[in-house]
Amino acid sequence: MKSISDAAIAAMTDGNAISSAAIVINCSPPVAVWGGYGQLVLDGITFDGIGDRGLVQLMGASLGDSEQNVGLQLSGVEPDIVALFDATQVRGAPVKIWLLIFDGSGQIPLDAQVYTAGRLDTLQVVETVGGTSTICASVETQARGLGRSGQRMRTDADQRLIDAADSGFRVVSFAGNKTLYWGGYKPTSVATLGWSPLPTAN
Amino acid sequence: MTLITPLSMPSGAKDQVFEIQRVDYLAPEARGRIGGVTAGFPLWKMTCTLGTLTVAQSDQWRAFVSAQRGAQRLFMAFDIGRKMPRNYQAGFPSGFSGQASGWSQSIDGNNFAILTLTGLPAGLSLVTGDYVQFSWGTFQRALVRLVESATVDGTGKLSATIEPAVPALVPPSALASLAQPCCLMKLTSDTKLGPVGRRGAIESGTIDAIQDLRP
Repeated sequence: MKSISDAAIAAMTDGNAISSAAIVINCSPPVAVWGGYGQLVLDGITFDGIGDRGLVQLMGASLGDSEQNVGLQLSGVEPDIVALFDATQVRGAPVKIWLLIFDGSGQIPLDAQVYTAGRLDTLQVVETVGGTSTICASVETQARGLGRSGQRMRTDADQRLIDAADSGFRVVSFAGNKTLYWGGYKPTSVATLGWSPLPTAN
Repeated sequence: MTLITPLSMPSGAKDQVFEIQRVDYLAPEARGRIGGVTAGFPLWKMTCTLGTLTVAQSDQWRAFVSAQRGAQRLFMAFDIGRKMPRNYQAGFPSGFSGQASGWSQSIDGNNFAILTLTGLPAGLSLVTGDYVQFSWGTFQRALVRLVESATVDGTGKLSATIEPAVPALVPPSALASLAQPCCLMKLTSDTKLGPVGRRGAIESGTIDAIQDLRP
């Protein structure tokens, strides 16, 4: 639960808030940028202003639905961001995104909230001839990582990979499978229910 | 002779749109209320239409557009109707260069930005729509527009509401000036020059540019 400051709520109610975002990608060296102009210091990190308005594409998500990645759309020719191309260990680098709310004049910061934190998944460079050059960075959140299953099953062969002398699974012929939904409701759709509410045509 | 960058805009444009661009995400509701937030910070945007030009002006515009190399170079963009404050189109009172000795900005209770300039000649009268330029570094510029009229008081001080607010990246040491206020822009891909007619001048064209605000 985020507690947004009263001033920011008031500005949003009046409809005169200016929103922006700040992003730090902890590769080596770290890349810290925000959507305004000039430098911004937040949580002890100095962010370089890149004046980019479409910094964060917030992906839609609904309660109980599977976790979505967050897409970052960055300029492919901005000097502060092009460092990403050279940075080592970019893949899997921790990423933190703040949502910033300013007053209508853009001068008074009203609130800064961590929107999401995760790890950098894919970096896609999209270049349109005669158009724009952008880096689309996909940020995978922790919840998505939790939803990924491993390859090993509860079988005798796989158990012996862990301990060759362990024969605890030798009489198990079927590996049970149970899906757990962490932090949400079980998604319900025709596909997951396994039956169709509509009569078939034939 | 070599050209000095950033170049200034040539003259002769038929008309010009020189306004603040804001990107708003609006959320209108059925009960009539319009909610919304502004994404990012405002910038100046300019669109000039070229109409009938003299051959010399046409050559100037074609040279200007080619020297810009698309969006590679910055240029000095200004409101062609307000190269000088409206009351001083022919020049300032003698002894005044147009430069204020100091400036400060405050945000009032209604989120309006109030700019205070000092060191101006007493009685100098600025009107709505006049511009103030901030310059620093080698050629960095920021531009604001007065949205109310104001007169300099006896101590040489003037306070007026401006739009947009002076961007946070403008250093306090920047020089505020009323003379030939401009900001730095880059051409966008919407810039098109029309065909050259029998007169030897281009007959149409659109110059489209957006402010490039940099520290």
